[in-house]
Amino acid sequence: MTQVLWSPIRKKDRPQEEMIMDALRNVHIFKNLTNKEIKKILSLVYTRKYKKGDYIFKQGHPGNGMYIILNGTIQIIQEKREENIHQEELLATLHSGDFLGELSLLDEAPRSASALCLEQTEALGFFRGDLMDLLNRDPLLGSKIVLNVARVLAERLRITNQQLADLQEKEARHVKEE
Amino acid sequence: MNLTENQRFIIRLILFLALITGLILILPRLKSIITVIVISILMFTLLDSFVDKLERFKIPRALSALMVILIILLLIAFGISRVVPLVENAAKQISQSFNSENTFTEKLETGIVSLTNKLPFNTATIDIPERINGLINTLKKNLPTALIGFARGLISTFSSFFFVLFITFFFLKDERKIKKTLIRFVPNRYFEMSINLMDKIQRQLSAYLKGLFLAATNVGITSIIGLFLVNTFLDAGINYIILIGLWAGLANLIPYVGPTAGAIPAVISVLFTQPPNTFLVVLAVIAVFVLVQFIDNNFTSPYLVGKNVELHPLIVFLVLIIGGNLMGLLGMMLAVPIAGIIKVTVGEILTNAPKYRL
Repeated sequence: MTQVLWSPIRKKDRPQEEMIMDALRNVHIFKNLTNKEIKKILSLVYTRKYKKGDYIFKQGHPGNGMYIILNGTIQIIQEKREENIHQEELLATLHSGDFLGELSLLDEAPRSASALCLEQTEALGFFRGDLMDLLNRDPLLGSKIVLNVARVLAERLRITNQQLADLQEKEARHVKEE
Repeated sequence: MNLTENQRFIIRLILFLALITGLILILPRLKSIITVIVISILMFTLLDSFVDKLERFKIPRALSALMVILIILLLIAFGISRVVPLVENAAKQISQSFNSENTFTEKLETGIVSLTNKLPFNTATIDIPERINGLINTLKKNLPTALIGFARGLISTFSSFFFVLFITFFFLKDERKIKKTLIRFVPNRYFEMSINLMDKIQRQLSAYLKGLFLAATNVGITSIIGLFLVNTFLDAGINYIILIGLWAGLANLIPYVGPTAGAIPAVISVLFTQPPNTFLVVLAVIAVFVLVQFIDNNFTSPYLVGKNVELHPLIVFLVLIIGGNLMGLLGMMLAVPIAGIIKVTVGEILTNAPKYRL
């Protein structure tokens, strides 16, 4: 109980820098980084405050980097336009500690969905240009991050492959049954 | 208060005109500080990647920036300590030649007459001795003072350059802090776009300025090698080859005018030294500068500077006039790089901003 009561106050008391470093440590692309390395990342990230209803980014805009939510809630919405019908599909709701857009660290492919703030939100932005600079200035740290992004990609590819294999199996079974 | 669209437009127009008038009134007063800041930004863009490279060796950013600035400072101090005595020496020699007027006039006259006799067209109608005397009188009045002034100017430029290096150091050291502070003022709506544009513009500018710098260095070095070969094979005895090469490299920043301006001191030097085969040597010197320009225009500059920053000759002409009017020779040298920077910036904005349908 005491823990529950005091933790938000303690959290508030802690310097902003510590809070941001904690948030960074929890993101898988910054895992296995030393404290010194996390501090280096700290000098590269941008802290932004968004009002309710603000878009962090919009679908179709060039992907430029990733965001980590420090506090607040955002919705990931995908717009679909088919034969003059405009639909919005909610893909996910993200909260404090969640992150999004990490694949934009690798290329400028357009954002596949929009990120809309449901309440006052504070987020950290880490961008491709800074990662490229980091690769130039500190290749070891830069390559650690790129390797972590590659791991995320590999994991997603494995899941997609599994889903595709399941689908194919299902379809083959369906054809057999017919 | 509800304003109509027209009223809003008129208010914006008035504010815009007031801003422009204010800038026109204030800018001339801030000319020197603006010059220092512009040159500092150019230096920062040029040196940033060197500081990044030093950081690779785990040297802290501040120390890396300091090292780069100190190296530049040492190079400039060394260059000036070499160039100033050379220029002063040249000025003294010229002034001595003027004092023994007959020998000098005769030397130059013989040089030019032997040169014109070799030309395939008739120059008998031109009164060469009279023209030379006129030229000598003008040179006599102005050249030695101008050269000594130039040498002293270099020293005073060095002291203003010290401020440039001081500001550049902080730009290099606190690059990220400055960028973060600037970005803080950008509304969320334009945040991603600004980050993207700043990054792309900085990369393009850095490549462009490095290209210009390398192309100028290449012109300087190839001119020195060319003149050295002329001296070796034709026994031309051209003086101040390194000084002429340095000047040719610097002058190359001024398109169209630069290559000729680079060749003139070399030709004058030949006319001064009066080698036995003056005509051949002058031809060889001109050939060297034509070849240097050919290499620069067809091989190095397109590769180093890139075709995408090519400016229309009319724009080059206009910016040279504006640069010359505002800041003299320095303005002419900075005009094209600054025009290139504006072109890169506008180009990046026009290419990338529409991708963000705001």
